[in-house]
Amino acid sequence: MLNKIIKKHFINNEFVDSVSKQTFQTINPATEEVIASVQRGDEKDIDLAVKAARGAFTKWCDVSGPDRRDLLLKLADSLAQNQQYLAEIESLDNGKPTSIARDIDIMMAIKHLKYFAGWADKLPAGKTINVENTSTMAFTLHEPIGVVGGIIPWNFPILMFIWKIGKWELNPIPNMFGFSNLPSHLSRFSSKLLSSLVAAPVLSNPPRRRL
Amino acid sequence: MTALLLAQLIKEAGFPAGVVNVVCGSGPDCGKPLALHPDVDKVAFTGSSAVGRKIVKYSGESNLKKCTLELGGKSPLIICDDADLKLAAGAAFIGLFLNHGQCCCASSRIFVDSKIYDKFAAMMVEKAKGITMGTEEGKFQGPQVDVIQFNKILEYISSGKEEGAKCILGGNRAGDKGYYIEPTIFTNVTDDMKIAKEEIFGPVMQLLKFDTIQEAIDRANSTSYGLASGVCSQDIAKAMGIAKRLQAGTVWVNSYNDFDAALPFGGYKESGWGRDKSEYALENYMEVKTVQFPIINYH
Repeated sequence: MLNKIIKKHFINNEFVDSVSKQTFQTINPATEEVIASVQRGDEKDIDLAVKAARGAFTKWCDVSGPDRRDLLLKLADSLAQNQQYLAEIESLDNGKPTSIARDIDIMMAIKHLKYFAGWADKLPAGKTINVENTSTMAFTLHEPIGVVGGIIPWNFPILMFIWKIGKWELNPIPNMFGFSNLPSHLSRFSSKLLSSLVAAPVLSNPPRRRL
Repeated sequence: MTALLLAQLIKEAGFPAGVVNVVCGSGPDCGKPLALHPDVDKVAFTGSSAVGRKIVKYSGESNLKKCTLELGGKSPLIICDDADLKLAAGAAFIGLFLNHGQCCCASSRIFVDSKIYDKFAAMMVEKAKGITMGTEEGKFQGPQVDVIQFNKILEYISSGKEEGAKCILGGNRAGDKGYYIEPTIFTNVTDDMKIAKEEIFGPVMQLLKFDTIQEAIDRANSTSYGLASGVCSQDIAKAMGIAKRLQAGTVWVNSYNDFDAALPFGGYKESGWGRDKSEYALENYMEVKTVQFPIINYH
């Protein structure tokens, strides 16, 4: 069942090994057995992800709101089509009963994606403001913040991933996720799927070419 | 692992290269360099308050990147004597036992009016006895996520017993394989106990007794956390009055752990900065740019 998953980092639309070539094992908490070996990232991989997100940022800002909306909706549909499979993987990796993973985690993730997709072409681009000096005119622009690093916990990995990337409407995101069996002094990080998501925010700010 | 599967779906959906990147690793190996990175504009972190502090520190040590933090909690749920007890038991049950207690907003301090305390405790025991364990379809409670969490929760259960709380259900490992913990309920819990102060992140319920609403509100707010809270009462004026005073980012009335994408979620006090979900969350991902210019004033 796990064969279909590429257990590598995802940087610049490519699945890649860690620069260090290190891996770690992930354990099924219901059986205490090792279920997979996954690439183990460090700062070199983070740096590559941040560079990729930075490179994507300006281009992403020029993608129109409706196009960003459609991409998020397409992803939501893709999650819906894979709902059972995602639930089974989540169950193996995280210990959730499959029905709970499917009907809570993944169903909510789909709803959140659709919700944020709805903002992509509707978010106010800014406002005009009356100022004291009547020989002056002024307005605001709502612009995406830039490269966003999302750090996601293990308790609701799929849902928290989507909570973060929903706002890709604006920004590119280098994300990070963590894994459980690494000894760590950062307690919550030390468990399960903790990944790092580095992305260019997706927010539906006014596309620059329109200005 | 599911995040990597999501990455595959993201690629298939046609997102441009670099818009989403996923790196797997531990907090020290990946989270720290991400939070210290000079070319990251913002970090959105969900996790413990201890690590949240580190994220802010790393931001200060690098480029003052913006941070939003969704952190831990020790969320109170107040059950008034006029509550619909069936409804209240349902709220307390889902508030604590959902996801094996592994929710940052878990109702892990349940304040129950002394007039209904014993009755309510008996109802909770009956309800929790019905929990089915396993990871198969239709089961309610799976194992805790890993051995670290598993051991930590068992330590909290021991400390509860040592500090004088009464364990009226569970209190042990369930079975001998997998990180399963019995649904556990403590009564006679007092505010000074470790299990009443620290985030347990497991299927361990604390029932605390109160005599007046004012006392319940004061004790509910007597925590450094402020993520979520709840109140159960059939008197709308009372429930709203309590909701007004609770220092928390969410107040669920006659319900708990009810989520909607359109509603903001985040913490007061040390439970975080900013809000996830909803229109409010978008503000955390934007900069506002002011553009000003002179115009010719014709008369």
